[in-house]
Amino acid sequence: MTQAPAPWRSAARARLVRLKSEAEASRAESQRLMQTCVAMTQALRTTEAELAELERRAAFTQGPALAQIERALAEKGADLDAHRAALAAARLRHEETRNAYGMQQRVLDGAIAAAMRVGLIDSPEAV
Amino acid sequence: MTTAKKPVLTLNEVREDVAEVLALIERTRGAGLPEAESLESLKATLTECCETWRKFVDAAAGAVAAGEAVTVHRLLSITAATPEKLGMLALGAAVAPRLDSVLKEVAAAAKKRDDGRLRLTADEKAARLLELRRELYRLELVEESGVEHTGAARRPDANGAAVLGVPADVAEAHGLLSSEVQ
Repeated sequence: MTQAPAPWRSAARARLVRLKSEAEASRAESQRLMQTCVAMTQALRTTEAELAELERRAAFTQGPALAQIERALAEKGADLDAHRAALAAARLRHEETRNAYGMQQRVLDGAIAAAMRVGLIDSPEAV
Repeated sequence: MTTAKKPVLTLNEVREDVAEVLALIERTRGAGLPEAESLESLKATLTECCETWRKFVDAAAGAVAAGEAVTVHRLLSITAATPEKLGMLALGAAVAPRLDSVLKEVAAAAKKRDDGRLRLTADEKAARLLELRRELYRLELVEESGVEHTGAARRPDANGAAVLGVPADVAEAHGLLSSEVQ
């Protein structure tokens, strides 16, 4: 007759699986935010280029057409400010998520090492 | 009849206790030997130096008695000439005639420098560290249940065994009471 495993073992195994999925979710979120930052940086560069083009055109324009360009310049300037603020917020969020992932990964590594020591798993890949 | 209830600690309070026990572990690990034990080790080392000196005197006497020309090369062969041996020889020569007074002098000077540090024998240190590590693990299990309950972030240096809820006796049997280097 085989002895039933101690109840803490199944609870520990379940917790290990949960720790891993939490760390993986944080890593995925961190990567998603990084891609968002890249896309937002590209959008910012585009707006900056459009603004520069409007400024160049304004230098060679007079009369009603100039007033129209100046309105467009003001709008584009506001867009640029909004882009910059959004990018700064996204970068901060990415940094926070990356740090959280780093901490979760350290906890997971410690938990995996402990799980191997008590014979809960044979290798880190077994989680 | 009212039953005495253990106060329920908040997660922050448990973490303060964890930090306190970790500090005690650090202090205990850095504890010095009791003065008498430390002095005894000095006495044993100096006695060994004196013995090296006496062996040299004996060997040199043998060479002189045999009518040898005692050159530097011959002297070095008598002393075995390792840097450590030469150092021991020099210490032995200086201390041999007055070992007891040197030890008294060191003891008196050490007393003046005593900074009140924790002093434990090796056995006392091991026992105290085990006691503290058991207490730390108990607290880390409480902390983990607080983390589970509140959803708070774990400490990056949380003990992996406590995070998994490994019972204290199992953790101790597998050397997992403390995640610090033991």
